[in-house]
Amino acid sequence: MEMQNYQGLVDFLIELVLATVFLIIIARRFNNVIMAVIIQGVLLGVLCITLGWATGNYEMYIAALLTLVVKAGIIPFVLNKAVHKVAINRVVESFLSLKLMLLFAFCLVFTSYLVTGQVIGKGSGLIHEALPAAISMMLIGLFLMINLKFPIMQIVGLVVIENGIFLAGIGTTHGMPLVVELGIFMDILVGVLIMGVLVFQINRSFDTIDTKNLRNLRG
Amino acid sequence: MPVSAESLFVFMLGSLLLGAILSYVLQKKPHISIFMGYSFASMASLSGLILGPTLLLSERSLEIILPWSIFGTALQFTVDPLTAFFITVISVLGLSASVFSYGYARAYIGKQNVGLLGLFYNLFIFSMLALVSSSNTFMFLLFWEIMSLVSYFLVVFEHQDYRVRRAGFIYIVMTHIGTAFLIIAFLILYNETGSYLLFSQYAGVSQSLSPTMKSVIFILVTLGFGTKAGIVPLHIWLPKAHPAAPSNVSALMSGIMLKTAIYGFIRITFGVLGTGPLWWGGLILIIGAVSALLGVMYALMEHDIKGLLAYHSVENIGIILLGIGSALIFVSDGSHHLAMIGLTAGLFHTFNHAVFKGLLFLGAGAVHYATHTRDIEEMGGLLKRMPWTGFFFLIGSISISAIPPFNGFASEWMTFQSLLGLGTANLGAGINIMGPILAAALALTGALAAACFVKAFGIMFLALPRSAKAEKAKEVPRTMLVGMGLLASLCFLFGVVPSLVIDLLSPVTASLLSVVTIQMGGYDWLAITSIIEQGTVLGATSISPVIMLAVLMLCALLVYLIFTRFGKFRKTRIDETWNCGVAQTSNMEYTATSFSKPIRIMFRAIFRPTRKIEKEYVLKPYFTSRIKYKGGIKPFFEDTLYRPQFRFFLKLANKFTVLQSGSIQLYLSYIFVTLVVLLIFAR
Repeated sequence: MEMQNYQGLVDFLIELVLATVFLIIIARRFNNVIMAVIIQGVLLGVLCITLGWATGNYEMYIAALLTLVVKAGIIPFVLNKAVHKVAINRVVESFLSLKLMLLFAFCLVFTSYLVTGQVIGKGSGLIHEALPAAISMMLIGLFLMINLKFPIMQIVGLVVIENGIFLAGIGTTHGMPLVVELGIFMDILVGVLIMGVLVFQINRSFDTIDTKNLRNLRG
Repeated sequence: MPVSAESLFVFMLGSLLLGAILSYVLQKKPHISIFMGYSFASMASLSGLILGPTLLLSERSLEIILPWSIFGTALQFTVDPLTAFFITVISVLGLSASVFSYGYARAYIGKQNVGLLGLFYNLFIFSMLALVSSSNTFMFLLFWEIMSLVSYFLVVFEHQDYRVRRAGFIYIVMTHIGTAFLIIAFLILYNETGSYLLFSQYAGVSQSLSPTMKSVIFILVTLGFGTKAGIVPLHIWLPKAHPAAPSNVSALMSGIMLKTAIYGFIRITFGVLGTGPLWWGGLILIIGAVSALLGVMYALMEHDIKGLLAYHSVENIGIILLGIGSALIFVSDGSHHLAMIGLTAGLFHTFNHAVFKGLLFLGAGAVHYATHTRDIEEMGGLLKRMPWTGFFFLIGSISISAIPPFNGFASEWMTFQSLLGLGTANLGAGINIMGPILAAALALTGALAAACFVKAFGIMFLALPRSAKAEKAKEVPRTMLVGMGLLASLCFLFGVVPSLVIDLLSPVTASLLSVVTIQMGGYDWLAITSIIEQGTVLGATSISPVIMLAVLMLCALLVYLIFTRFGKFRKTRIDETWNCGVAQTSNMEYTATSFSKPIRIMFRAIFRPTRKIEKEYVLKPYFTSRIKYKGGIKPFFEDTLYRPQFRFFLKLANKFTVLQSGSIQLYLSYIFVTLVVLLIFAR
């Protein structure tokens, strides 16, 4: 089947994925954050299936399945558990105000469209929206890690970055080799698990998980 | 079955590695570990002693390519005349120090890990041998770095003492500053000459280098090797690191590790860069003269015996550089005969310094072994207790003071000749004046060195013991004496028949200066050396060590005869020395501080002596109960050159700690900002 026929749908899905990042930014409660992460995972899965359908690359279906299981299933589950153990009913705290954060995020999206707009031409047959959206997601993910105060939010930031990398992977190539994707999935999964455990440990040892207290460890 | 030189070379390196491993593995059984470690080191040195001179005499080179490679560079060794000469130097001292170590290392049993000492000791000799045989710059740097690291571990071997760790730190910082210069120099060479690595290839290509580039490389090489060799003002690590290391190691470090820097310097300047402008030689001459003079002066002020010897290493490196510097000047002038004399003087002194400084360090080690102190003010009267050590130390002292008939005299005499040669060379008034002035500086150096060793020997070995430690001293084990005796006899042998070494040096200098028609050596066997072009003797040194020895012996005989003849009629009365009726104690003796006082006053502009006197009175001002005297000299180079830099960097580092806030978010934002900025700029 021809890629061109699905271009509109794919672009639309990508924009939706990008929109979920803003959902994470504006979410003020951990439950909502985790919900946004689940939505993002599901949307990525759907995008994967669509691409698989469009390109006829059946490995994409396996990637889609993994995305759904890991990103919409296990990772939110682990996050949820962590939140319930240490920070139930806590409000997300950030250094910058919500308005400033949104402004920053818009600037980042603008920047990434500006810098990567010319990398993929219109007629290349590749998905035009994927790279700028992916770069924005990576930058915003990093921005989230910087700006939010709880380690759990750092995990969320990492997951967003990872999703950005995944989007770049599937969007700019006609399907990465499955081995690479498997590797990335394992990586992020193990990372999230370890960080989840670490958060418990930090909480148990110091009675707080606010990262600004890590400053005390400085020599 | 004749042994090929190639297999001898591989055997030499292999047995050192084997010795290192066995010594470490057997560390639970220290006696066996010591025996194994130093036996293999001795064996390797013996094979080096056979290999080096054989190759030099047969005037052939070796190419050995081992079937392994490191980072894609084949392990290729070249043993050309220069390398063969340095293998000989390393082996001579390696053998004596290893024999010495059988006894010396026993002192560490139960206190330190002797297996570790054996491991590093063997690796140290290995790295130096491999370094001088490396045929490409990559291997050279690799073994240079191994040598630096291994010697660092040897310096901090007695790491329980914080002063030792401090010395080690200064050493490793200084040595790496030197290495940095070398790496830059080699990278420039690599870049300028294409993608070659071999020294032999560089030599061919470097002629096309621009003069400026050549000079830049020359300066970098001088600084880099100078740090290792210990030229003033890069010498500050020497007097700290040498006393900290075990004595058998200090002997190797001072005797040969410094010489690997001389090797590298000669290899690059003569072997690769070739002819340069006149100021190269001038620079080296001035560095040499300053190092020689300041080295010996600071040595006079030093009362730690190994620190004193370390300063003398600075002095002797200066003397070696005087020979090499004059050779550089003659090379740029094209007068190869004189260049050959200068280079031979430098290399011959390199050899001699290895022998006598090795001997002195071993002697200092023996004294430390017996008295457990390095402070010469606490010694005294050791000659009666340790006659052989004292005798060998005396020979070393005479040699280093350049007094005939020992080897230090022979090479310094040649250095004098090449410096005076500058006075008559057709190179302009500046050089003509410089030559004699430098010769005078060298003469002053020799005189001060003699004064210094009168002090060292007199205070250490003569008079009454100044402490209980010295009183209880006993002669050291036989293996240690054999190690020292070997070097002492070499001091005498090469002092009387210097042509033995100079014959070996002839192919070295000839190949470095690429003149085949000129030879040097003992064709006129009475002279130190003679210079020959195509069979005709052009000239010889105007002094003959053999005749000098004969005159000396004649004088001694005469004195002996006179005394026995005319003294016979006197009555001999054996009694205490007359002492004004007071019981004689060691407190009345001349101390090292008081002995060196006149010199401290004479050169006070250089030493900047400080003194502090505190008096406690019973009744002011006539009855004092206690007087406390504290004297010292201002560490000029540390204060003016190193401390300001140190302070500057510390300040700078403190400024940068602002970046290290400890906040994870801040660290992440560094990454973030960098990323975004790069994205925008690299668009």
